Amino acid sequence: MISQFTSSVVSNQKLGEKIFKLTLSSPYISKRAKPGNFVHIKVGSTYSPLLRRAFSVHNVDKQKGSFEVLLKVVGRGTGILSEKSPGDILDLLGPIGKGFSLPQEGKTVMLVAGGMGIAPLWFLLNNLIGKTDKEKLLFFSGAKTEKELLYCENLKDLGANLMVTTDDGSFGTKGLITDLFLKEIKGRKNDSSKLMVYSCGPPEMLKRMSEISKGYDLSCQISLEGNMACGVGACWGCPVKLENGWYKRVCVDGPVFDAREVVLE
Amino acid sequence: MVSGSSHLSVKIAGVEFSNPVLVASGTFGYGEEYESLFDLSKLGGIVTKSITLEPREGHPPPRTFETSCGMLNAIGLANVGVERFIKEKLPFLKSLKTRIIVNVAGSTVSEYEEVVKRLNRSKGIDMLEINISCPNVKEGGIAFGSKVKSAYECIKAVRKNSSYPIIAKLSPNVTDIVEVAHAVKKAGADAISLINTLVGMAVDVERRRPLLANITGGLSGPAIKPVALAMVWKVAKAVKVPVIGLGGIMNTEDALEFILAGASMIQVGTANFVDPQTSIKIVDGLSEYCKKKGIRKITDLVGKLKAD
Repeated sequence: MISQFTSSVVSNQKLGEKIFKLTLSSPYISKRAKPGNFVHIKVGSTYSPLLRRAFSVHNVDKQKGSFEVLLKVVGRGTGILSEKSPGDILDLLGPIGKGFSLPQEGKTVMLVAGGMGIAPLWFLLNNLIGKTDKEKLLFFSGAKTEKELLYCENLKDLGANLMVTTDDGSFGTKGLITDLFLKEIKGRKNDSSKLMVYSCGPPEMLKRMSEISKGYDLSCQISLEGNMACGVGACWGCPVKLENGWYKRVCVDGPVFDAREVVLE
Repeated sequence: MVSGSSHLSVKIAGVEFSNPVLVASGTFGYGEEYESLFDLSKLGGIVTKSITLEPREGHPPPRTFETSCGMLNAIGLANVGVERFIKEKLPFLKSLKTRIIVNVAGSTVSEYEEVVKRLNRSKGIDMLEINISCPNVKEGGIAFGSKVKSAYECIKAVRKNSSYPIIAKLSPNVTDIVEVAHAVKKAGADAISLINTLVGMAVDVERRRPLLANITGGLSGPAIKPVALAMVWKVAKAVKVPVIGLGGIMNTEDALEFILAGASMIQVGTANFVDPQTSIKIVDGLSEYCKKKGIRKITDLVGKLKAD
């Protein structure tokens, strides 16, 4: 159930180029949020920026009653949030949306993250560790440059099979993460029914993931972004087109969709 | 069902409201979307999303874009259609202790008539708001509201067919809104709400493309409040019909500005996205204001702007 509440900033940590991790105090979210859910944060008290900003729940700490969001400064709203200090109070709506469905037992699980798309997948991964056989857990992480690549060390420590690309080749394989993923899929002829894929990243990457999923009939859950106004399903401002020609709302019908069900442009 | 009268109660077109604060069409879905966020019965009333005869899927994305102190939208009247509205959405609205105003839109006069006829048979509706001012659809909407003659004809046809009191929702995208207000009053509108959104656009200079798929959209939010206020004042002064004011209302002071300018009631729109509790904060704020200033009834304030 979506609730509105205030939450204080516990910490604000710079993780990379223009990338910040905000830890927020909220026993409510830490208990209720599922991987793939998001929160809708009011940036300030002035009218510019006006609308809330949506962020995936990046991780929760049930003991401490806190959760994290990952943000990259792309405009004024994220700029203001990146300057928050411990003790600052934020107005939030959450948890919102249909999250990821966890994989059935025995499936090989692939997580494919592009840039900031790692935000919800990190929370998902933390839920999978211990439940999924490490040999059957693959993490694909892509970014533009090494500076925007997050958690490589942590991912190795967690024991996930890690595959990395950067657009400029500054770390890992040079190229797109979707190409590396496709290569892996092609190498696993005829076992698409044994796979469960999860992905999040920029629009063009998710479009490619959707094409690959349709081409190989992969079970793939993608977490989408949309220009959201209300964030609670009322305004229909954040639609995603479906194969049947109609639309669903990214905010409450998603943000997680079957990659084979949606038409991304 | 609405609880008894108080210093905030308002009566327009024979319908009594517990307070003058409504939530605006298109910003509050079918009410159910906000159920978990506050007690909806505290509202004066809920104006639903525009309802058309057939379900509409709406425009392709992007449908919204934030601008300075406001936002653009081109949703394209996405809605479930009148039959599903009655079957799936109205029962919840009916269960609330607040007034229900169904917003009606169409591409032709006969579509408006047909939607109204189907709604006539349903219980639990208090009023209709006729959307002759949507700026984002090619047919209907603003096509009716931007011309005096077609606004008159559309409202006249709806009035003839409706068993409910009707509110004509006017567009600000006209040369003279007072002229349109006179026309809809003459056609039988029981009340007038204004303003709908202002036509606007935004451009991505990197891609050299519009930021909305529909190219233009409707501008709303605090950016349009001064425009809305001036139009409410002009219409309320010139036309003897209850006026419902909307356009960028964010707080109690904004609401009071509209009431002083002549609005009997107000609607909260874009502010619902910013803070879903804006409308009930305004209800409380109006009550406090009346107490503090020794005002017996909020209706005593309507049109009390000292402009001479």
